[in-house]
Amino acid sequence: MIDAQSYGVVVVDPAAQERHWVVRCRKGDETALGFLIARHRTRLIRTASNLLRDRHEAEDVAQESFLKAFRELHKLRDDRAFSGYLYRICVRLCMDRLRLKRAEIAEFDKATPSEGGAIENKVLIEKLLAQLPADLRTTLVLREMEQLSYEEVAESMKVPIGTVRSRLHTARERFRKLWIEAVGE
Amino acid sequence: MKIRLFGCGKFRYLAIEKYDRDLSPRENDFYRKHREVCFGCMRYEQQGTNAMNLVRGAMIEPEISEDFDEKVLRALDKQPRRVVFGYWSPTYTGAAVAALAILATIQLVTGSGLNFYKGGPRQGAYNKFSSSQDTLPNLVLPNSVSVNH
Repeated sequence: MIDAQSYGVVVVDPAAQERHWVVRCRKGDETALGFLIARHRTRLIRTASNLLRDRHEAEDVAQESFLKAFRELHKLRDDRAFSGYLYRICVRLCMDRLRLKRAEIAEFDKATPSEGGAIENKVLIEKLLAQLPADLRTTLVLREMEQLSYEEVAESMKVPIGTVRSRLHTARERFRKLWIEAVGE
Repeated sequence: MKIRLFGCGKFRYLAIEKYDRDLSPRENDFYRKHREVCFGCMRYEQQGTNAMNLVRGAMIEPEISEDFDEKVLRALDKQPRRVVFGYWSPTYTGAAVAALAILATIQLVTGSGLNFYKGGPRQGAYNKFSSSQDTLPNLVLPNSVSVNH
């Protein structure tokens, strides 16, 4: 049988490679830790930024996610599932923070309409998103901004797909209403 | 005054559904026809589309600080100390204290520890040994072994 290696071609399967690094990580290899951090940091920070709307806080959450994932690596049964495991931790940490934030924001002002460019719109969107409950907000952001599939959203939030569907429906409807109230269309 | 036609509810439901799935030909037909006759629903659809476009456009691109990896690795270096500290967690300490208390209670109740107060366990052991000294069995040596006095 001829395989790719006999021709001097090295086939790199990302999943297999990651599994290899996770195994080495379990043995305390620092290079493996570095590799896994480098591989997942961008995605984690991007998701956390979109959920929390704060870059510094997002970096803190990403860091915390890595620490938690590495400390509880022994709980991971399947080495191939590291990516999903890490992402799930990050989403859950973001949701915890959002719940705390929402409790603080509840007393603040309502969103004010603004006519202007992209920055004003972003500020407005942040204010509107802040008025949604953490569950709805997370579902909406993961689906619309992160472009995850229903299955992926369900897996990262640890809820059934049916729940994701209904939450997304509610989130879109509520967001639309909030937006109309704010812009006054 | 807002005028709502028959089927507006269905239209609005489908308006959100169509973000995630392809509507069936029948649903599509209903959707198209209803939009043509109902101004309110047409506006509703536009507002929804605009709102979702805004959400998608508000994505934040990540900015990663240069020392991010170092920070994580440094924080991980502190881990062994925390693990060791884990052995002294309130659960383990409480369990150990409870176990000691139970052992002490058992000793006091069964009376095995009372010897200590009546001269102590050592004295008791000495008495036992000294009283049994007279009745020590004679040692029987094999013939090949000679004992010179």
